[in-house]
Amino acid sequence: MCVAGVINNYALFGAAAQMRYTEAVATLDADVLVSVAHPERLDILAPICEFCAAHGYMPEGEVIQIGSWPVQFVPVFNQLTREALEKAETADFEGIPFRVVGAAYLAAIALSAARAKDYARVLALLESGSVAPSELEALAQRHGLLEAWKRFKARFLDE
Amino acid sequence: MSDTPNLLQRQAAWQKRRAALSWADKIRMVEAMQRTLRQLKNSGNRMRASRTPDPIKPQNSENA
Repeated sequence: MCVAGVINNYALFGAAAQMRYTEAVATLDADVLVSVAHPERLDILAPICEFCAAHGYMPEGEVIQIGSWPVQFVPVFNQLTREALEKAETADFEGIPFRVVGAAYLAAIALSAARAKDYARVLALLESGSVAPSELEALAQRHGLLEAWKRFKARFLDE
Repeated sequence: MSDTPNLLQRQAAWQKRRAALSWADKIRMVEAMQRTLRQLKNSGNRMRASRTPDPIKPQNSENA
């Protein structure tokens, strides 16, 4: 998709990416952060859907079924996700290079989403030692998430 | 004397070992979970379908 010019960049994030650092977690889909070639389009995901359909991967509602995985393509939507994508790491998946959002950004994105399962993700990443609380705090401060971080810390870490 | 502390320690060690699996192994574990969930969902659907009375088929054999 990058070579065809449909997207500029991509990186896996969400639960499937988190598992690089933590135990396996039950998830039904894979989330892929993308920067698209034409972000000004109203139907921003249409070129991705068309590209996938042309290669036999059909859209099903919000996702595109690729192998056994429903994949959700999420265009970068703020400075945090843009930076997460730019600084994504290239992981090795059984010999195949694959861009994946790093642990600190995964935790910060989860912190910003602020659902119960996202808090569980932040905790899992902190407990795995893949991200330090100070690193997450610095990231939260830079991206307007300091209050969210303080609330999270008071609720789950400062007991 | 309770063996609970030892049990918890063994569980913690086991969980750490699971976290240390390769990323590919963990993805395969999740795919296995997904297959199981699909099978459970399909079997649930089949059970519900078998319980739903057929509106065309007569329910009372005496009326047949």
